[in-house]
Amino acid sequence: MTSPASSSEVKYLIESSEGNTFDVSGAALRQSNTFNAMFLNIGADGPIPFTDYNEATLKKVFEYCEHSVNEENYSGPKHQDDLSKWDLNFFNEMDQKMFIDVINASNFLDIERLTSYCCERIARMLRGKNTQEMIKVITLPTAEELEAKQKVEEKKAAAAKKVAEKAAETAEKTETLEELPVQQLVQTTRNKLTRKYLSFSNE
Amino acid sequence: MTTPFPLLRLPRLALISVFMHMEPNEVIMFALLSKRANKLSKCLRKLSASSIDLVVENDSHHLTVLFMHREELPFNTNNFWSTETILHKNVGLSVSEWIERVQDVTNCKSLKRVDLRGSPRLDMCDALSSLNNISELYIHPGCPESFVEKALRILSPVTNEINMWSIPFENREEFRTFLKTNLDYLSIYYCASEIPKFEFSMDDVLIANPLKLQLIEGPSSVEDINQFFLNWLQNTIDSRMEHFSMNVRENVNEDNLLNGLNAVSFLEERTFHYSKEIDFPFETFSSGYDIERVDGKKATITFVNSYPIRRIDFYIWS
Repeated sequence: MTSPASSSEVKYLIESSEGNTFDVSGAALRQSNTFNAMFLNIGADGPIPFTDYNEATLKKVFEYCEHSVNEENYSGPKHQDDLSKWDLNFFNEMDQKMFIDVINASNFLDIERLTSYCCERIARMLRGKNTQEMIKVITLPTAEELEAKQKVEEKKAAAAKKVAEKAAETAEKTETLEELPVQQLVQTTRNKLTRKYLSFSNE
Repeated sequence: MTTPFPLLRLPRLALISVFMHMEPNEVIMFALLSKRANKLSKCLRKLSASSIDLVVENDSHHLTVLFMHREELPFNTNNFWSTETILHKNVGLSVSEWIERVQDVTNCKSLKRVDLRGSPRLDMCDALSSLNNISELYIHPGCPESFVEKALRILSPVTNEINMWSIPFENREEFRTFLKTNLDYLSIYYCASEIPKFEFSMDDVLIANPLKLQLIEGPSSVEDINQFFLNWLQNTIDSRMEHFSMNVRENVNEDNLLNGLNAVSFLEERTFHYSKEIDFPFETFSSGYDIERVDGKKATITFVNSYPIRRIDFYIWS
């Protein structure tokens, strides 16, 4: 069931990359600035497709959001030392792959609190280390890997630009956001974020 | 997470957040990993160091990076300072590359202060050659003379102030040449014990070019200094020097110091400004003696005679 979120009782259906759907409360979802930008005021007609992320990752992310529903609004980074036992367990039970997937999903969904805690956790890996010790903790890509990554990013950027242009044309034709179908709305927002990201990268 | 973390697989916004959580010291260490890591550090976290100092000790050296932080409070702004010590140890870079990398990532293009405290490694002179602007150079006791001599040859032209506890020159001519360096400030400590290696005359001070020359525990007597003043009165060739200060070991006898100078005493507050804007912009004194050369050039002599400070100052007015 999906409808405009006005109370924490409202549930939204989330669709993962596997095509599976599951419920998330409106209160939990509202911690995502991406969701707020897309659906908060207009609601969603059908499952919300976060299809770049698998079910396990999305469930993990929204598990965090559900848990922190009653915490006060995020007001800046908190030190790991201040994290609750639940928070620490949440992070500790993830393997590295899951941790990276959660950061990526949290970054896309723009969940400030979770992204910040994850990033601080990574920064702590490097705390007080010299160069020799840092090399043991992190891997840096080789020149070839970087080149390959750059090519992929260029392709993605070109594709995003093309889609963005198309979406802009569509948006001109559409009078109100409410009239856009969910899939297209997700794509439009994603394009906006991509453009924001690209302009940020170019700074 | 025991396997190395693939940091650069993170999205850029997350990477920025990671770097914002890192201490400046860690960002600098990360930048030392590789050229690419340095480039990345600069994109993800902009550091702005207020100054960088280099300390060279026996077989080790480190950089001290000073940061100023501003904290916006409800009714005012609080500034506070922090320092980060960056060791040149197992970084896989030469000393000059290491200095250059730290300067680059901290956006601080010159070194404020260089301290030479001991016998350095062989590549230190190469590293010093790469420095192009230093505010202050300190040469401490215990540095090998050969290194000090090389360091002075390399750094004097790019340094504003030199404080030294060792005179590495074997003869008077080398010392005279060094005194002609266009420094803002030169201070030599333990002169009396360092200079006897060669003949020294107060006339050498006449040709000195630092704006301020300070000889602590100078090798000369009050009579020698009087002779220096007499020679200055006779001299018509001016060096850059505007202020000469010397600490002496004996009591300053006023009659001996001013003999034959036709000095005129005064009792008034005066401020002496250097012709160039430097770290020590002015000196003040409230009494002393004026002397005047035949060409109209004026100078003021002041002295302090209260143990343990027995100091004579000579100010040349422009």
